Amino acid sequence: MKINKDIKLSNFFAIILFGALAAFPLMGQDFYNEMVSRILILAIFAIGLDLLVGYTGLVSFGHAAWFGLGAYSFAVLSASYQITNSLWITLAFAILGSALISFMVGLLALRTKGIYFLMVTLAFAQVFYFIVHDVPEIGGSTDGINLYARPLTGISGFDLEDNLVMYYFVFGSLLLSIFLFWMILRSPFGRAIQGIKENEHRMSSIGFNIFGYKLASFVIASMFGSFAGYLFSVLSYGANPELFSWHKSAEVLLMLTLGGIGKFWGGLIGAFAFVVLKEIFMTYTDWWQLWLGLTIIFVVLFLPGGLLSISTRIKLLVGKKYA
Amino acid sequence: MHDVLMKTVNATRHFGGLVANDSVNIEVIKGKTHAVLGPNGAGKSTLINLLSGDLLCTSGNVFFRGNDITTLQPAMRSRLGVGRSYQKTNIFPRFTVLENCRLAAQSRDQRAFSLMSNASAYRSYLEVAEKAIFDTGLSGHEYRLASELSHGEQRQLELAIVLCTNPSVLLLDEPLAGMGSEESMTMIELLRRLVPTHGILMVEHDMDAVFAIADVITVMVNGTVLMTDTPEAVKASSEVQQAYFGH
Repeated sequence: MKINKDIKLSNFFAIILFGALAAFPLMGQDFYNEMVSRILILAIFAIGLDLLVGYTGLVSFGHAAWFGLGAYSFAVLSASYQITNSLWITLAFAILGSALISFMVGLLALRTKGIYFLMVTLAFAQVFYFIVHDVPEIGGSTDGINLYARPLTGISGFDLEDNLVMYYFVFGSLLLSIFLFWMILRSPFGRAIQGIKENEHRMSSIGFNIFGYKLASFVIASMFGSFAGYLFSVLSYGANPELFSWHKSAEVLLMLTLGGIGKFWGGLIGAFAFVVLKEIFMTYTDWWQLWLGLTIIFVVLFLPGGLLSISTRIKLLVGKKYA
Repeated sequence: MHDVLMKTVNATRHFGGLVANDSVNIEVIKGKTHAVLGPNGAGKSTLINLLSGDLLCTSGNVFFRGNDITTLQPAMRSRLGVGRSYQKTNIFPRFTVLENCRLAAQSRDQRAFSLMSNASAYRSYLEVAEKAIFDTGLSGHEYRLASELSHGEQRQLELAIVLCTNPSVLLLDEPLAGMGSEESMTMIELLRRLVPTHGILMVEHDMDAVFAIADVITVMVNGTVLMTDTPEAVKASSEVQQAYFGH
């Protein structure tokens, strides 16, 4: 119900936004194409985290682990060990590998709650960070792994080295992710995790296996994260330990906060707002982090529901009948 | 022959040095309404918690249909058929009335893990939910948010959620608390209709209601059972007068 209303209100804007995104490369702004691609990838990353934070009520501070894992999956398979350069094999490896590892991490981490869960997820992500930072066997180094080629699709005319094709591949990936996100939220599983966020105690007393649902949500969120990380390494021709770092986990949480935690479009809007604000501040000042920080504080103080709550705010101000 | 659905054997629960329940023996029988009375601190809520699994026994056992469920978690007991309502309303405030009930109905189904289907498309969940909403007198409120209901309506919803889980035992912690007299009457009538197919154990302070519907009454004092008998016998007991009514 709540989800459907959210979606109805935003349908109109979503169509315009996706239309604009589809048409964007035709404007010939090559430099911005890559920036927009990056935003779309971060949106996939944020959507996955929102499933966990906004819809299951589990605040993870280690979501970058899955982003990094996805990125390194491709880098290690294609460059370090040169096993395969196939898009389909490396992508499947990234997503399934992440699912397997997050399943094991979740078994342990989900025994904790609240601040402890936050700390345990952070600790796991840090472990991964130091592995890729210090273990040479898997390409571990401060600089990470440079890539000289994007994966091969095996389909003629579908060549990811072509930046335009890459853009539409990322765009298609985002559409697919949003569609899956929508499917999951309206499914019995999606309703159950939202019930857990709303009232975990009651969910358990009416017979739901809370741990199982949380674990499944944790694994699915990691798969979105890994998908995003994979695309990121392909887009930027490289993977480095920074992708696993706690800054990255914090950044994606900030994106959600900006856009609106637990709002259907929160991840997408948040990713846009975060990157665009960062670019603007970097253009005009050396102190961009200060201004970005102040902006986030401003949003949290005056729009606690994120940018997406602006419409609700306006409605409250002018009265429902005019909005 | 009594059909004992649930019982405790010497159920004991300590909180540090405090003995909240001391060797409590109680039976929930199909077709009977069993009321638990007692002054504040007598251990009534602890008893319900031991039955539902919200608390585990320090010693003693809990049985459901003859099986020992002493160490089972609440979710497992719920799936066996133990339904409980809470004294402090425990609902999903930001969900609609229908979604509160639909979710509870979904708990009975393994397909609940399904990822790629629309939850609202499962007729069976909706039918169970609609029936519980009708039975508890909430018809017409399906699409209101639970948080917008009146206190009495939230109490009705509290019970509706339990009914959606298709329980055989109902553990009701003060089901009438805070209800107006009309709402109380509706609730009492509903409980009467449920009794033949359920075993009901309720903690309730509304004496008129208790004596109107209880078949068996247990009086608890200081964590122990003072007596278990028919309402008439309990009313007549001087011991109970002494301990509970205080005169």
